[in-house]
Amino acid sequence: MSLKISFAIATAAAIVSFAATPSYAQTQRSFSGAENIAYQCSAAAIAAQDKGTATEGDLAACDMAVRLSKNSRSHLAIALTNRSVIHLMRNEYDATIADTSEALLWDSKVPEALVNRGVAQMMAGRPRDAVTDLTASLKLSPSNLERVYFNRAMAREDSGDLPGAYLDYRKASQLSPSWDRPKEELKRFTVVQKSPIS
Amino acid sequence: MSHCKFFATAAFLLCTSSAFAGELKASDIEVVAVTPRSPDVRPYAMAIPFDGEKRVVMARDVQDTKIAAAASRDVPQSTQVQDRKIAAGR
Repeated sequence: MSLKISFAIATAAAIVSFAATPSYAQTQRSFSGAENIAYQCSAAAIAAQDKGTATEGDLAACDMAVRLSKNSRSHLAIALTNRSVIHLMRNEYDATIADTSEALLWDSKVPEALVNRGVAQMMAGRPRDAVTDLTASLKLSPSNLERVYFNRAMAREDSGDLPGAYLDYRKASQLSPSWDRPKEELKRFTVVQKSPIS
Repeated sequence: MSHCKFFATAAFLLCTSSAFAGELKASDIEVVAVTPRSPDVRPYAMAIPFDGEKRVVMARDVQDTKIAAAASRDVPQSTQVQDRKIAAGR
């Protein structure tokens, strides 16, 4: 009898501990149909960033997310921003700019939309427009601030603003000292400090 | 004479404040040489994680935009997309 009780207690403890693990808790969240599609679009966009490519299936998920988010401005802005990442990975810069511009119409406080539009402008050969968008995104306190400075450094470099580029690479490095990428870029620059008298 | 000293001191502090503050400005430096950037270096795109803190903000946003705006300022920075690099080719 005591063996049975012990077994029951152990089983219950195992179930409780399993349910408490983050991965299981995550799968137990109840999404509505529209939210589920939005989640899939978000996951596809993040995975696309990892891989550097995006499939037709990724795009289809985000197309669906955009269609199903029409009744919420913020949901729509997020779906459009995530679809812009898919377009970016497919080198579809005009589509990226269109999606991010629409996202900003629905919610002007989405720094990620400004960042992605800035990246698309840069990739499309318009670095000055990229600098404008990336500067605007910085005012919205985006996450991964150092990445935004890094992007703007690239755009400034492409537009010929070499001191500005240097300072942005430097800022990115200061914000994330363990990140080597900006340090590598800084090595390319030979800089002298101007005398305050001259 | 004392006025001259005062203005000279003020001018000196104004001119050198950026140097003491440690914040360089573009006008403080001159790039005398730069080697071309590797074509492998790409800018970074940003996806928005739907599951997680942003979703909480969104849910509030539907009900009350003022509450959502306040909540978004308190949201900790997401690290979920920190290391994701775009590989869109030039």
